[in-house]
Amino acid sequence: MNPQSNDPLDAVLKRWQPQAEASTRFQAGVWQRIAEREAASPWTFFRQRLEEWSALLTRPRYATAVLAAVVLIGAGLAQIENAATRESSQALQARYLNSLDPYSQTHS
Amino acid sequence: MKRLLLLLAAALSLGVGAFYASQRMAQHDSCVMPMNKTAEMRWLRSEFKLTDAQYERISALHEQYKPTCERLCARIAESNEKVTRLIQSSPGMNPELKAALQESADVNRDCRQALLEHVYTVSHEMNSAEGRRYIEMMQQRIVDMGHQ
Repeated sequence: MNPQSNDPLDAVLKRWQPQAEASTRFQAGVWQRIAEREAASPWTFFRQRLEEWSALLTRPRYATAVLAAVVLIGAGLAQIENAATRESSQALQARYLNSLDPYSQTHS
Repeated sequence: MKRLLLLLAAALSLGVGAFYASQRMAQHDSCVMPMNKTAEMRWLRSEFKLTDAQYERISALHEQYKPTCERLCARIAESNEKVTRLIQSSPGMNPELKAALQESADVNRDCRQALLEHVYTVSHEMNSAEGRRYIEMMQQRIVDMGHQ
């Protein structure tokens, strides 16, 4: 602002006093929002993620993929277990043969 | 959320179903074994699809064969010890060592004969196809007996 200016707006600005008042509920609202944020627990976070995943996985395409994967995993685990059983079967066969062979009992 | 739970329940059911279906396909002949028998006899029952009656008779034959097997085992040990002792003490082949080797061969023959008789007896208790398969399984052990 130029000190030698005679702009009438200067006099108006000098007299102007802002009379804005904060809403009486403003402060209470701020505190309420803070309390809500603090109340947001990890469970809430988990629940939100779960809902997102739910929305994704229950789409027909993804649901089919999940079911197919689970079937493959189940069948695969059974194959692994069967392989272990087959090994055990060979060991039992050897035990049976040894139980009948006097020579194998001489060595034991 | 409800749909996700339904999906998980369906996935669990299918996974468990696939596991048992696959397992059953691989072990379609599996059956419940009485636990008072030895594991190898329970294996024999499963492997050769023995009925309860066949299993009982074959178990009895197995028990009857045991004393024979133990007696032959003692003869083998005695014969081996004699041959070992004579080899160490003799400067060369002599009639006593020859006789000991002959005795060892006789024991081997007796072992094969006893086992073969047992195998035939057991196979006759099985179904025809299983009996043949049992003899096939045993024949190599009989041929190789004493040479392993």
